[in-house]
Amino acid sequence: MVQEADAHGIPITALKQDYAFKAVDDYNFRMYILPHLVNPESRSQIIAEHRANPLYAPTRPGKPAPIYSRVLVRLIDKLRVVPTAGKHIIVETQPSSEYSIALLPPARGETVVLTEETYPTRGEADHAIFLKRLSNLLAEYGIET
Amino acid sequence: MQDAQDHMLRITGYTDRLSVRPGEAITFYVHSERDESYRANIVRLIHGDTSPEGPGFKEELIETPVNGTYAGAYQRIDAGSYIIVPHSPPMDVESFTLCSYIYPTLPAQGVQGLLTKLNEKDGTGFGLFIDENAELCLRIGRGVGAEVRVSSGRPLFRNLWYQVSAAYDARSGRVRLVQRPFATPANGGFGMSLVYPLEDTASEIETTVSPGPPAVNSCPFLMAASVADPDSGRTIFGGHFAGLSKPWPIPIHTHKFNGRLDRPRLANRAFSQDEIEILLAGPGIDHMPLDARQPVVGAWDFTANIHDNAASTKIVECGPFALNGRGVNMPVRGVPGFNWTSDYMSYRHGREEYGAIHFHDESVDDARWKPAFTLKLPKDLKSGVYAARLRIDGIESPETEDYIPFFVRPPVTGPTARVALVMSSVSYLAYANDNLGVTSPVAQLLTARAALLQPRDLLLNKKEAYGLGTYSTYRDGWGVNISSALRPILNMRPKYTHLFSPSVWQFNADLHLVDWLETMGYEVDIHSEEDVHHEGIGLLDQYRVVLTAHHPEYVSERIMNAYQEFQLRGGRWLYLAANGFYWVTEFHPDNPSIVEVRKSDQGSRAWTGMPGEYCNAFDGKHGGAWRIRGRPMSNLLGVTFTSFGLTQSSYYRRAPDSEREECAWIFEGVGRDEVIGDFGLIGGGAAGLELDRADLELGTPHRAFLLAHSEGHSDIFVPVTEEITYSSRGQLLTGTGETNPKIRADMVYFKAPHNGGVFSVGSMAWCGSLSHNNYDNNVSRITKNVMDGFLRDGPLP
Repeated sequence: MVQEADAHGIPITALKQDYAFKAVDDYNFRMYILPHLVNPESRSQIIAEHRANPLYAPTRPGKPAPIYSRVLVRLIDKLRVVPTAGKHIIVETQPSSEYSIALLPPARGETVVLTEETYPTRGEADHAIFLKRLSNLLAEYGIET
Repeated sequence: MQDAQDHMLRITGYTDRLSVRPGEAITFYVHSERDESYRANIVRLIHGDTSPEGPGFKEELIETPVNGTYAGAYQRIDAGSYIIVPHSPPMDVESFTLCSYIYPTLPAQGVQGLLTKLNEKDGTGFGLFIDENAELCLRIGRGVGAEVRVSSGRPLFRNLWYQVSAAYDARSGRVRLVQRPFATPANGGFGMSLVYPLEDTASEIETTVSPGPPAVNSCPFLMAASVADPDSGRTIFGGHFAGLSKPWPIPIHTHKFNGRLDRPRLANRAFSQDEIEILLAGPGIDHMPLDARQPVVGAWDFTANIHDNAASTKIVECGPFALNGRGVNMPVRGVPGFNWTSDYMSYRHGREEYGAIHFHDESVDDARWKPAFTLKLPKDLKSGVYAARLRIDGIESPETEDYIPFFVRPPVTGPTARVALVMSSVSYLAYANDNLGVTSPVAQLLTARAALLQPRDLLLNKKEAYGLGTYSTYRDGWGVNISSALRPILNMRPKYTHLFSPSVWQFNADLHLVDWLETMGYEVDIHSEEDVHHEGIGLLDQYRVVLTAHHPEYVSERIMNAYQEFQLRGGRWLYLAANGFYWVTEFHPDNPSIVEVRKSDQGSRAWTGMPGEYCNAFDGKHGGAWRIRGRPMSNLLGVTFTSFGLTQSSYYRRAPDSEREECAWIFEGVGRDEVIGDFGLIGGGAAGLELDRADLELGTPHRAFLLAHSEGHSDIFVPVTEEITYSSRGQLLTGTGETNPKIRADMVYFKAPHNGGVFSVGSMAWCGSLSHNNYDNNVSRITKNVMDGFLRDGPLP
């Protein structure tokens, strides 16, 4: 095991690196979400479910509120809290008609980086971000999309 | 890949006041990012929501003498709180001692000035710093490139009190630098109290450097920063700097400290450690024998002028030279010091334990820009919501256009209408410049969508949020408890899509109501909450009907009292809102442009107050939710905050009370089984964003009527945390919209003495539905029925 220490010789422990949070988060993902994503058919279903309703929708009388399936809820809640640095967000580059995908800086005051990828609606841009975050997450588990 | 700054807004500004009467003057301060010229026009704002599904943007151009083209100029913002003590000859020390208790909250964030009289520009002076390695550091300046530095060799830890000192003898060159942790059972707040092994962070260095005094300068002595340039061209005077006999020049400051200081001292010779202990043993110098006091140049007592409040920016020095200072950018007073025991939870009870001041490198009290133009309002100008519309080269685009809003009241001679709309100016300040689209890792859980940044958000981010607002935390994790109107507030704008809503929120959403009142032909006087704070019941009493805007969440005690009195005296009131009258908020006693909110440890909140920090600096009373001060909003409104879901909305169904004789008039023209508000510009329904419910256990009047309730809220709608004793899956505790019947908006009506009445809708989305179908819909109809009924003289049915 590497004995890491900072410039003052003070150990950089696993505790300082939030090891347990990451380990439990990994366990939860592998137990409850990943199996649905490994299977290409169920993954497609999850993606289709998000594409159909990327921003939720108003509730209409006599109908249930349009909410996601349990697995999509678990997945998207994880994707929505990915770390801020490099996180995908939307920049409205033309009012109500052009939504560009951009990347957040690590801290306020630093530059938001715009990609050339644009969408005509906010919903489509939101779904594109969903796919990017999903792709990044699966890549961490060695799954190419 | 390209830099999103190309899409950034390039012009913005603010006013010296938010609320103004005809005949009075209002000054505008404008920043032009690229020094471009701009066209300014005064406009009356009517509808700010640009959604193609609604009536669209509406404004009326007003001819005024200030309409014209101006040369634009870049205007700097000097954020970061610090204390300034003007230069004084006794500070021209040769040998010296600097000492203090310090509580660094971000010691590893780079160089930070603690106690400094050091000019970074010419390398003169001296100071005690935290260096780039998080170590305590003494710097003695002898000109550029001729600086002596001694560092402690050990890192300072975060959120831990230390006693620190540097003693320098100019004749021998001897330096003693001490960095000594000072942890008690409670003084660290949420920081650790066990420091083991102590050597990891404790240090005592004795060394010798080349002798000689620091180069003399005429810089001010700063606490929590050092001087980048002595001449900023700016001064402090008046307002919250009340008591100054003349303006004080302030420098451009740098090396801004995050954390607390307590008992800072400067002496003009090198003290022994024993002498330092004596010097730091009392809040001032009264405890010291006369001869021991002689070398003391400055002993600042941060408790000295704390009494009923801790609002003063004056920093009292106890020695014979009275080297008093001022806190710039509102450093936070009334916070626990190094000796805090937790015996007292307020400085009103244990002032001696609240001798710390907390500094943040991002706080702003006033942008201090040069004025661009001053408008003297025409005497016949109609009351309304107005703005200076600024367009670079006259171009209308999100990158080149900004609006600086202000409220025009009726003339001082009296009201011009029987209806008043009170704009939620306090809440606009509380929500100012959150910048959470860039910085919050969890906001997307609350909003259920990826963040959307508009050109305004990009400018705000570049400017590090111009001082933030009470929905943000500073870099060190402390909540932002102070907000000022004297800087651009970029989310208080028309045409703005807000992070917290699928469309609009706060100011821009309130224009839905302004537009409806105008379209329906009601004569209305506009006031701000600040006006109600200052004029109280005298203001409200002039009107038959008063309306709040859609989210009057933050109110002062005086505002609360004014509405309570209005209710008792026969006032009729439409609360077309949710989550109103929720947070205790106080104005600075000397500056109505600055407010304070301490979010305490109960309430649905953006941050939690740290231990012992629950009381406002501005009035000394307990901050947090009004309900914990025994004034739940239901006392006034009949409904209490119950849920929020910053996503799509739902609709209402009528309840049996709506058919009662006393209530049926409200539903004239609305069918018994008609669904109410399944349409609208905020999330597609009249029930959404935040929701209130009636609750007899929380002060709803016993004869209140339940007219309608909403249903069908999604799983993004969660219960308010103040009602969750234990989190639990399932219906009544932490259950979300699809399981928990407390997640609903209740529409409530009740009568009050002297023919008074209150109508509450318990939803922030209600006003977004008013314009649907060209204003012909049941939300509009119900609202009109109530307005007309309330305006009719005589008893209510």
